[in-house]
Amino acid sequence: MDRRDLLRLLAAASALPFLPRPADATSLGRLLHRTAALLPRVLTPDQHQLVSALADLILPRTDTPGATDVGVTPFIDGLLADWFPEDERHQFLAGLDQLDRRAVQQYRGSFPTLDPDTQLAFAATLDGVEGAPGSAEASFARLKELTVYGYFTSKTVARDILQDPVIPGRFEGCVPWQ
Amino acid sequence: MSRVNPGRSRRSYDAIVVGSGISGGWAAKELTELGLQVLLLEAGGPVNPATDYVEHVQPWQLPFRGYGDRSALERNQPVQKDCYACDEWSGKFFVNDLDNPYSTPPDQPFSWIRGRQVGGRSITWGRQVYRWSDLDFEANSRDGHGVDWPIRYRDIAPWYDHVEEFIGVSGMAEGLPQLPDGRFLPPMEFNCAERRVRERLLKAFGGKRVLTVGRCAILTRDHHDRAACHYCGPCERGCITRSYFSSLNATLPAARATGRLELRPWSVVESVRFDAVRRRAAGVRVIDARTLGVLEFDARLVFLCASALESTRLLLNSRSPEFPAGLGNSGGVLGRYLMDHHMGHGARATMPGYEDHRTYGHRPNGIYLARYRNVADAHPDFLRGYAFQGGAWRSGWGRGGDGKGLGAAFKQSLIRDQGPWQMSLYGFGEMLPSPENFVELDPTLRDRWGIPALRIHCAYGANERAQWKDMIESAMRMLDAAGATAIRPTDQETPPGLVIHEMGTARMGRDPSTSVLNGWNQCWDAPNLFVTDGACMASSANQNPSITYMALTARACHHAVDLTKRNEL
Repeated sequence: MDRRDLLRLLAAASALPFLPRPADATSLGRLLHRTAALLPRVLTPDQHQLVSALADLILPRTDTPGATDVGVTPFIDGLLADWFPEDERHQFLAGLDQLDRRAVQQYRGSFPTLDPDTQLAFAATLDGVEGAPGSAEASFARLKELTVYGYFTSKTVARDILQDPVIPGRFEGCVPWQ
Repeated sequence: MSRVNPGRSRRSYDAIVVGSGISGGWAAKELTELGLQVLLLEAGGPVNPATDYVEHVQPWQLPFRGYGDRSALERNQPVQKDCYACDEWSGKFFVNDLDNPYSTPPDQPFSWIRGRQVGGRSITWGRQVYRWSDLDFEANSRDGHGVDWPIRYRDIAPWYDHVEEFIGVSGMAEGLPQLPDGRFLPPMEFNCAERRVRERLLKAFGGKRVLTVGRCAILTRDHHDRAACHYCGPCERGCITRSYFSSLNATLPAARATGRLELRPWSVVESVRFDAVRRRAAGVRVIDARTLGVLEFDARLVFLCASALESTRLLLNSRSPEFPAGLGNSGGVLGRYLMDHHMGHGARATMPGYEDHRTYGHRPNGIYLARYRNVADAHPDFLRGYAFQGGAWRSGWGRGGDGKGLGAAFKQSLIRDQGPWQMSLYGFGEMLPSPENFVELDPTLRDRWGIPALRIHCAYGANERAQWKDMIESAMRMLDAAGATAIRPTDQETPPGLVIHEMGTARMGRDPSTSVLNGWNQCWDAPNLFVTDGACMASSANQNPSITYMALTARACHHAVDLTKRNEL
């Protein structure tokens, strides 16, 4: 790891809330390795914040967890790293950047810094609107799809909230419900 | 079940069975139970249910949550990935396309979906089980496409009974002559919307359009030594309670229990060896999949159950001075009359009502709407017929991925409500046997084991296209009659092969000059050689074909042993 990487890692790691003070160089090394596993692999710190803000806007925390509570951002980052082909990754990120630039133009602030009502009003102008690949609209639609999928396939939501049994033991075709 | 047999304890067997899938498993079971020492050769590796079955693995336990390793799939399984079941769970039950190449003309794509492992494709099959009737066995002679089947329903009916009794088939008896009832375990339930569609169609079409629950090889109560289904859902990932039928779950354990089965995985059969003096198959030549060493085994009987196109490839590659164009090819029809079914045409819609009802458990089965075209009357635009499969379901949280909606209320609705009932009907249509659809050995392309690859020529024809049009129109009309809304056509042409009902290319018949096999699946060129997988089919009907392969296999095994006892082989 070169100095630039270390600085980048420390800068990003400083955003993590649970960093103890490293006692010596060895434990710093261990810490950095542990931390590296938690770091975004594709998303820049700004993009990471933007994805998280959008995901929590789509599925916010209520009496049930929000999108980032169940790790939707690292899920999306992991797909960007290992699943998206190069051209799709590029288009997706370009659309996110366009989205944020539009927020700055229209509301004089990066999307994550806007107040919740403004965020919602802005996102509503993108929601359900078709756009060409690389556009803010297309990336929002993709992000929403991945957010919903990542949320509902997370262990917390699938197992504890939906409570869909893995081994139901029987099938009933038409059960009155609530 | 998964252990590789160490070494070769003997070189000569009563019978060799090639392939351990749905047909080969039956051949191994019947022949060992009839007292024969059987060598079962499987090209792929062993499968250990305890560690390889993944039906209870949940999305969050997978690296891609079920999306699959896209780049690996595109690199190693560019053909297999088009099968719905080749996913992040079950991709391991499908072949590596780089190791198993084949070619097609550029304008005739064909999707050849394969599973090389102990159990073959019976691990991932769709489990739908429908008997043929004489409407099917007489079809070729009636309209002149293909050669007449050498058998009729009465010849196979006892073997359908025999197979169903063992595998366990759940379903409803409907008394339809074109879709004979079997020996059914209790049917799975319809869901609310399906029941309504059934009732309304019966009324609207005077009882002529019968939507029944899928007849499937899944146990709805304990059966023999296998447990009833627990409705976890994704059978194609395996089943640790052995509740659906596969060779791995049922026939191979039965064969093993006789003490007369020797199973040899990693055994790629390269050719059938012909004894020119005795005019019999002498045995097979095998390439060890791991060492590439060549082995030979002898047997008094040889059963090819390697899947339609693999068995035919093997025969085409069994060239000798007596049969320079391949064993079984004396009549020049080996490789010809390839068929699949066609699907991807029908309709889907929203079924209003029952929003306050839901299902409990995951039914690994759908509905079946029995053939109604060219049954009692004659359709002006096409021959033969089709059936619909499909079913109703709630759209669930997946509907949140597209369309509008944001925020707390949106999330709450995805968690609490399941969305409206959706109903889908998609046709499974019969494909006419045509000499234009055929396979041959590619002059240059070889697989990883050096065996010539197939060149596949196959395309749907005018009769199939005429069926597509009627499937779409009829499905839309029926959904309308059932009270559906937002009715949309389904019109997705897929390459032949993708229904994974490929059959024909070594057809049964009455005449050695126009067929490869006789009415007992015996090769005209070598009477101790039997081909009992999908290669033997002289027409395709529109029913899912596996139970017919199983019944023909069991029938052929008993016949072969009878002949042996009478010293006629």
